[in-house]
Amino acid sequence: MSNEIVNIDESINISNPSYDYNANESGSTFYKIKFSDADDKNFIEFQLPKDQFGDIFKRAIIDNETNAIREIYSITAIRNLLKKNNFLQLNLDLSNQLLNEEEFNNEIENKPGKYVIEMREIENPQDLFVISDIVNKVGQQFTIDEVSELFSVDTNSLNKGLNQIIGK
Amino acid sequence: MVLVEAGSSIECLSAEIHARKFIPKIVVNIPKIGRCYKYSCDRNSDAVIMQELNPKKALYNNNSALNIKDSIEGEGIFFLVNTIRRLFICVSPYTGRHKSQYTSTTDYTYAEITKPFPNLGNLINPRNIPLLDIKQ
Repeated sequence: MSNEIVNIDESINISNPSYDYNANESGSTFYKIKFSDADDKNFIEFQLPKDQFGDIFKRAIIDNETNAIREIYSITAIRNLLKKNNFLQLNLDLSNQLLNEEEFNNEIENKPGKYVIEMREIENPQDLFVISDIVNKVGQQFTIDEVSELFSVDTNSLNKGLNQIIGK
Repeated sequence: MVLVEAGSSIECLSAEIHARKFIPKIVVNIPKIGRCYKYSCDRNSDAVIMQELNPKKALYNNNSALNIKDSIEGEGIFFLVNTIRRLFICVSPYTGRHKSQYTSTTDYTYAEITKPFPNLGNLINPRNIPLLDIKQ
């Protein structure tokens, strides 16, 4: 038996993310994957070894989770870079004496969302994998405090997370 | 006690910090501490505790040194000061040949080594850092 798609209707909305996994109850190695808006005529059918079925879909679920976390951290990094940009602009205004010290402090006090980076702890060691993956792709060496301010993670929990991974 | 390993840290109410180069970074908000101005120091940096915390209990990192005159020394350090007011950084003589930049803080300060001295890889008996404690 081939693993190719045997029947697919082009009218199915493939981009619809919700779909059902239906195991064949007869005990064969066939599995039907059916899109939520599919009727009896349009479905995708393919063959998978039964023992690998769980692994393949677990991996797919983990990849989905990782991608979701990666997206969150990427957006956090962009936001924090924008905050740094705003803060540098404020510092430049202070240096050029367009602002005085009091106005500088008031601006930070009144608009924390624009200038202040919120630090938080890492809850899941998986986050650390995602962060290291993003940093690797950037292709530049970062110190621990640079990573911390980029991804809004405090250095203490970065150290703890590293230790959990190393297993000391 | 002088700490030199990467990740070693101090916490205090007042500290004296020397470095060749101070870089003001950004204001960060840390739970339990509040808004802190973050600076990073480059090249031959050190930070010394001048006033201990009261009560003497670490707020940020449980493995920080807390005693008076405890210090960290490294190629690069960063520190957080619990104020959004900019520190006054001045130039002072440091060694016989070289000057350095200098500042002192009067609020809660946390300093940590990010880059140790490059020649420390040859230490015969490095201190076992209790910094990475997963049971916290």
